[in-house]
Amino acid sequence: MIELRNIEKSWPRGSETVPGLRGVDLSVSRGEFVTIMGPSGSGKSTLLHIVGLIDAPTAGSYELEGRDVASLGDRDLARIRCRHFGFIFQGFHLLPELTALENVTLPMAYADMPRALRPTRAKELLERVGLGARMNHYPSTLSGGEQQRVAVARALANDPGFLLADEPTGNLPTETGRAIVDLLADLNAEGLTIVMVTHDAALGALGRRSIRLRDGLVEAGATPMTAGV
Amino acid sequence: METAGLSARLLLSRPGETLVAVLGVALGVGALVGVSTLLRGYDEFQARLARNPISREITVAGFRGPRDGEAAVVSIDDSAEPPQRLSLADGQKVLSEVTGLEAVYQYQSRRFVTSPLSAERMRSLAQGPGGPGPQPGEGGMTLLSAGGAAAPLPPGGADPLQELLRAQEIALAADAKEPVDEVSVEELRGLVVSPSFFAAFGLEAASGSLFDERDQGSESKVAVLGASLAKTLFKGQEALGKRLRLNGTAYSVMGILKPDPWEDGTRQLPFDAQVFVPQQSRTLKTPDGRTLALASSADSLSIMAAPERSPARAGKDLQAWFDRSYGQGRVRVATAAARFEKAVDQRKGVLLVLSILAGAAASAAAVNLFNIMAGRILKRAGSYAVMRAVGATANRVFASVMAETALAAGLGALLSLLVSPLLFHALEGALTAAGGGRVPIRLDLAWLLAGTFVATAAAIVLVAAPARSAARAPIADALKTE
Repeated sequence: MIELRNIEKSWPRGSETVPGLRGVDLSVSRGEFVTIMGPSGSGKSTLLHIVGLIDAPTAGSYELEGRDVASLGDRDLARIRCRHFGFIFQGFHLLPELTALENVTLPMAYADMPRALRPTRAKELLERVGLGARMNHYPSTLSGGEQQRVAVARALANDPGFLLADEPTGNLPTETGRAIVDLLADLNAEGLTIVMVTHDAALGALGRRSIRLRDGLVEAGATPMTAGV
Repeated sequence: METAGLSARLLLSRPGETLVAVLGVALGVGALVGVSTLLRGYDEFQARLARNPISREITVAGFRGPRDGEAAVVSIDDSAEPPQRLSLADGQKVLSEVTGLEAVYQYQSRRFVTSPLSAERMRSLAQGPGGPGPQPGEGGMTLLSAGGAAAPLPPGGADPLQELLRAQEIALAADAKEPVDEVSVEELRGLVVSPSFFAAFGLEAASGSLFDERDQGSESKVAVLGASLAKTLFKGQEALGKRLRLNGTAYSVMGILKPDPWEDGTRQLPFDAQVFVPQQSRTLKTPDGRTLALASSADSLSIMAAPERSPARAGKDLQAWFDRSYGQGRVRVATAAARFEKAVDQRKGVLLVLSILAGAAASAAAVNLFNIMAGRILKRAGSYAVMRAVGATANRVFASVMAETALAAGLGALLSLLVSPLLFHALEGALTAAGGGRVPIRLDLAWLLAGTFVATAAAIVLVAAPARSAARAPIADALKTE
């Protein structure tokens, strides 16, 4: 379970401080599909990055599975990211020098999975996302939808507890985007916890729970934080 | 995918850029290490030379040709009446009057064949390429007199040189009938030496004995073998007492040397691998009953400075003594150390300039590698952030960048290991061809490897700062650059 309390995030700009998040609370339980919505600059991605431990809050507390993770060092944070979270980004963020298969095995190497097991697992995942025939292709030879599917497979590499998706359909045509969201919905149905940032209301409605941010605050009237639990 | 494998993939993702970086390192490091290894070779040679007795050798150079009844002479003034000449016996006077000298001796390099000689070869050896008498690299003796030692040549008599030729042929033909043992080589290098030669160079007998004054007589056909030659010459058999033929003359092995305590590569031809025969005077009977007196030739006299004495200082004292005794500039005195030092100093001057150029080339290669890697690091900031987002620690990303740099630099270094020796030998050949004679230097592999390692490490270290910075960049910020 993810428990964020009174999370603040700000950035210095000259002598001033630019606020990003201004006291956000968020709880995510196992098996949820939570969408974070809001206009550009509302702090959606920042909140997701803090949830995924790729950004640190300026203030507030963060407990993951009951453990305070706000003050951990790089090594522990890397281990948690590796084992607990899978990331999907708007820009796919595949390594262009590696094939689809190699991109998927990358997190497995960081998790110290035995080398012999990695290709088999990566192939299973790529087949799961419908890319069994294109696993040896480089990202530059894949379409946007295919690249995002590789990113989904990569996110699932270490069988994480949480899949964090930041505008996963933002760079995709509607139909392709829809297929990706359906894939995420299927994964959620299989028990994977998903937190997805989107500014698309239609996609946001897919989540079993949605929170809306505006100017770094959870907007009044949003779905209760622990709805459905 | 492990760090090294990933780094290799990343490195090869831009082959053209990588090739430029690798070749830059190969040429830059290769040039720097090649030149510095050559410089070190000369430094090391000078250090070796300073420890070796050869550095204390002072050569009194003069005219080639013996004096009646004496094996070793150096001409001081042949136009004087009687001609002024310096012999080994005179050398003893030098030792007693000039301080800081410890031995006077002579030696002359020879090339010997061990097989029986054909009649034509006998004639050739007896006559030599320029006529009867001593020839560089050949055996042979010089006519002292015909008709008896110290006796003037009879006017209008038979041509003594032709008589010498015939007499030598007869002597060689007689020697050809003497039985000898089977040897393993067709050709040998050796030295014709005075008895004092061995002591001067600290050479001692391991078995048998070395030459003394009695061996300067013509009847003593004895040889001494260097330590390593003795082991191989008779195919593993004990060499002492064996007989071998050298340029047609049969010699008995009377002694075997201990390994040269000063053998350190300074000498192009180690004493251990050579055969030694004594300088001799001999008489021959011509078919018409005349007696010809002959002596081994030598064109210089060598004097060894004492270890505690500076060879340069001893050389100056010696020159002053000769100038006082025989007139200014009549005798030329030269130290072996000075001869080598002049050649080495000339080369080091050239190499110093080259090393500056090579250093600039290596620096340019390092800067080029730095630029290429820094550019890649900048371009890959997003990729590094992704790697960390999916589980890599900052240290692992840093290791990946450094491994990529090390691979590029390492490939360059490997290639430089080919470039360096090529450059070393090419430069050494060019410097030798430019003059000053050959200086025996060695390619120091350990130095070459160490130099390559240090230069490569320096190139890698340059990249460490931007790599560390990229690896520790905030992930969320870096992702925005992707």
